[in-house]
Amino acid sequence: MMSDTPLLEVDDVEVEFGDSGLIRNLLGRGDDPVRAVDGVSFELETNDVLTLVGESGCGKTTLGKAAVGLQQPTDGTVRYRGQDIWGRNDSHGDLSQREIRHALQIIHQDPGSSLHPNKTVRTALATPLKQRHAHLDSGQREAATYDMLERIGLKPAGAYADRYPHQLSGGEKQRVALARALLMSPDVIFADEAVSALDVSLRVEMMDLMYELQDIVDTSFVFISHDMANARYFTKKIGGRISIMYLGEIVEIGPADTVINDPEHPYTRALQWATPALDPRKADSNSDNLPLRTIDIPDPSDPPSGCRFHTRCPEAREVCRHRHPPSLQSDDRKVSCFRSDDGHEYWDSPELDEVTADTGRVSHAPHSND
Amino acid sequence: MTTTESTLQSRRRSTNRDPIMTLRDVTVTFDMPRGTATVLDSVDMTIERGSVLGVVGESGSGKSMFASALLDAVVDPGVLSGNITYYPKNGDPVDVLDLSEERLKQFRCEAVSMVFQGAQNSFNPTMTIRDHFIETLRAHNRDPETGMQRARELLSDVYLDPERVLDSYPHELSGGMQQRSLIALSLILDPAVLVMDEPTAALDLLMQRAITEMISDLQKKYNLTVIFITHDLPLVSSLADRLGVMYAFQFVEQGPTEEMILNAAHPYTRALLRAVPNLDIPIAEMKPIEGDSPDSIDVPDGCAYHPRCPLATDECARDPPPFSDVDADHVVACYHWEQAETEIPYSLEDGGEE
Amino acid sequence: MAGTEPRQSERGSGLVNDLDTESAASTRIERLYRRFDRYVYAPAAVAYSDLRTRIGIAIILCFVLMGTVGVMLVEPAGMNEVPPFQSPFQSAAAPLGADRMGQPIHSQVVHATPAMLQMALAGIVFSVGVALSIGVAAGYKGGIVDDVLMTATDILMVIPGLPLIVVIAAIWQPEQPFVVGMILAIDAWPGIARMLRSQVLTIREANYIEADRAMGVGTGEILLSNIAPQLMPFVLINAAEAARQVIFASVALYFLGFLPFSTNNWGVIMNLAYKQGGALSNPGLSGHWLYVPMIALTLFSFGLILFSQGMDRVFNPRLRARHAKTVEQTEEH
Repeated sequence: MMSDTPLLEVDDVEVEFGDSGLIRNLLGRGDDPVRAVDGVSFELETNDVLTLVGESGCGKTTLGKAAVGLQQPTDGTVRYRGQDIWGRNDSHGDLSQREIRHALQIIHQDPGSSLHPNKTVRTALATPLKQRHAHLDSGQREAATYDMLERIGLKPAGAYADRYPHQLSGGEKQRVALARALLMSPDVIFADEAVSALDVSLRVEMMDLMYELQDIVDTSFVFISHDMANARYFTKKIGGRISIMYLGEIVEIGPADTVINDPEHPYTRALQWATPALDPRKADSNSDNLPLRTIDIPDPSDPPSGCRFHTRCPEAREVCRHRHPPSLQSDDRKVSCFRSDDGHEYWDSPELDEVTADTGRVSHAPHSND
Repeated sequence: MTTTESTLQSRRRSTNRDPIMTLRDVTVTFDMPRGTATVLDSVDMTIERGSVLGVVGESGSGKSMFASALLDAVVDPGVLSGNITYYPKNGDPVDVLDLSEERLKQFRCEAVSMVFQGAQNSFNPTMTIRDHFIETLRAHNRDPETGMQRARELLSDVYLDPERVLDSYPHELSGGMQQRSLIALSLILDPAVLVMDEPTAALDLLMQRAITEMISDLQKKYNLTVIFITHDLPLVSSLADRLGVMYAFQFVEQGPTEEMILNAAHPYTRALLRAVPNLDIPIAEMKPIEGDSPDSIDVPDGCAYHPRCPLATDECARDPPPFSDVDADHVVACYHWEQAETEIPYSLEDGGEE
Repeated sequence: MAGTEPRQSERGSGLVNDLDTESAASTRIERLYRRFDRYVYAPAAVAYSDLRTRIGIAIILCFVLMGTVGVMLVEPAGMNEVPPFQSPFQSAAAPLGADRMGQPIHSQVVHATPAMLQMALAGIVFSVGVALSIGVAAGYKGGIVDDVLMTATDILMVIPGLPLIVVIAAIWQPEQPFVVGMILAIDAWPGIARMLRSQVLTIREANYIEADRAMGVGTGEILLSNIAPQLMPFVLINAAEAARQVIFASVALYFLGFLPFSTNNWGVIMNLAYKQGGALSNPGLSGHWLYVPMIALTLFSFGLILFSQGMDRVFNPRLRARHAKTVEQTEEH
């Protein structure tokens, strides 16, 4: 039985950067503002996971931080258990700011800078305990710390507790960062490429750990990955959704199997093509050609008109340049592409031939099979 | 598997027995306050001319040290011992470790060139890309005119606009463009061998794929021998003709790529295949590898992998296993490799559906 | 799986109740020992391991002793205790020689020490203290606070230091050495404040600070426990530098006669040596009058420099880990 209010609700959130001061703008030297996140909405339930996949600059980190209250949106709302986390509007909330703050945590991408260099593991893990479980005395805190260290596989706990970060390997540091977030007993953890900095052989271990510990604390994840293979593993295990982001928008979102095995949006297809296949026989049969018009991403401060992907999309047509596709339901997923709508004028629109790009491969739209 | 058959045949070119470099018993040690660290242990390898060798290992397995050894560029106070021989197309074999400073400088960049991870740190931020090329050309007494013509050709081979890129400073280029410029720069002196240490590490998925395709094209065009070092097994599986898997500072298995991936012999390789996230193996079959990789000072006796290996016996804990032949070109350092298939199963089906 | 309701038990309490660890919990004694080791022993061991710190501390201690115990042991200089301009090492009453009026120089130097120490202390406290408050506030808060504070700092930085101090000293005519030190510190703090601010700007963006904010750690605690330890190396070096700057500035001002002639000061002694003893034109006669206080000055500032350089290592966690007794020696990354 699910409750009616989703655990976390991101409602048409926008985050804009780079608004220069008045004087600079008057002098005509202001920076163009960049909309890192441009109107994104999604919902998250308990014990859920939403994986954000996309290239750098697509806004996934900014969106994740906005979702856990570390980045204030310039427009839109983020609601935790129905309450606006920034305390604006007429939110009938009975949760204090403190409770909301505790419920939303983060694990960073770079294990090297996620732990304070001057603090031992013990001291680092004491912080969440003091914040969230303030009633514990130092003996109880120590027991909780040791218990958590053992759960994340750092044994003997007593020895690890006294180590400084520079005495831990990358994988170990990342596990401590996970422990620190979990000790807050949060409802949502934003894992920003939490496994990308680890060696490939350690990634499954880390994701398994996150999955096991999720049960203990009943936490949901907003998981970022630029890698489809990681995304598939983690999302499928928990049974959540993958969403593909491009230039600040979600272009496709759905269950892991659907999005990975049967991608509809051309960008998702390109990402899938780009994911290296382990099986060398498969690698051979994959076409050698880039399924995109150009390899380089457009300038985020000046996104293309209409459908933002049209400058790189092999299937782009005239209408894509002028109209922005809405989010359309297709089977159990949502796609922002006119091709998912059989009756749309897209199918009558002429094909786009030239595309200006100053670097990368410039080609005419490769005629792919639909 | 119809059209793929012919491409598979072309992969077998590794058996044409024309080595360009051989390594025999190459070892690197460091004396530390805590003890002597062996960061590369008795490496034996033959690299075929015009082939692509993938060196796969976790961080801390010694793969970067292997790259440094190939150029005799091990940092002080490391000690490099053993025998490394380079066979130029025309001329006598060269003992790399025996070269004078002058000849060694020539050797690096002209015979064997290296591309490091993280292009940003390889460029001088105060010089334009053009300056970098000119500097390299001058340092090796090449004519700048002809050299820059070649530079322009190389830059367009890596899908960059030569005029735009040459006049830019490194920080003006994106990560992908920097990495491609670095690859072009490493080819300016027409080396025979290109060593690449995690060249796509910090890059996005699409750029990563584009660069691996590009490396394949460059290899064919300039007849390069490429040594591609990475921890990302799927990345190199389509590119490499042969793979070498490193564990605890040694090579534990070497062989043709396809055979190694479909039928790995060493327990570690099999475990690695199961542990690496990819789209081909069903999720239920993926398992992390138990335990941790060894400290360079404290490598286990006998077979370095035995504490983590389900097939380990007393023999494994005592004596390091020699290389056994699995096949013509495929060797493995394990006593029990024949049982590995049953003990550590994995299958490369279409891993998507479940 | 996704969407399931949390279990009945109070969420999160499973992490802190019903614990069953394999590791032995440490006793109170062990925990106290660990704190001692971490905060007292290890830093001291790191400090001691460096020759510079040892020598620096020794020198500073000597001067402190001189300024406290020494003044009680050594008689204040009286006139005509020995023949005027007596050379050093001639008599027991004036082992370092005497000035024009027969006053032993060593006692003058000793009795000037308390004032010098007070000035140095004032210099450190005010320059570093003010710089810390302003730099950290500006760096961490940003926005308007930053703009206002940095504008004030920049204005002060731009005004030439020594003339400013000279003007202030001429107007206020300070007599207490502590106040003198305070005034002289005005020249020192702007540069330090700017430097600290840029350090704070860097640290502020670090991931671990963001994690702390996510956990709800208050600004005060973040500043104290996270940012301050990383600023300590800068603070220490600048503290020593500020002390030196203040002392030299005071010596300069006394030497030039801008500060009232009411305190004992090595600079005063040097001034007299120059003006009344012709020490520069006639070193054979009164050179010792000039050099003895000069050597004292040089030695003191040298001690400060060595100390601060040595102490810089104390804040390096790798060194502390290596020296601490309760931390195992492991592979470092």
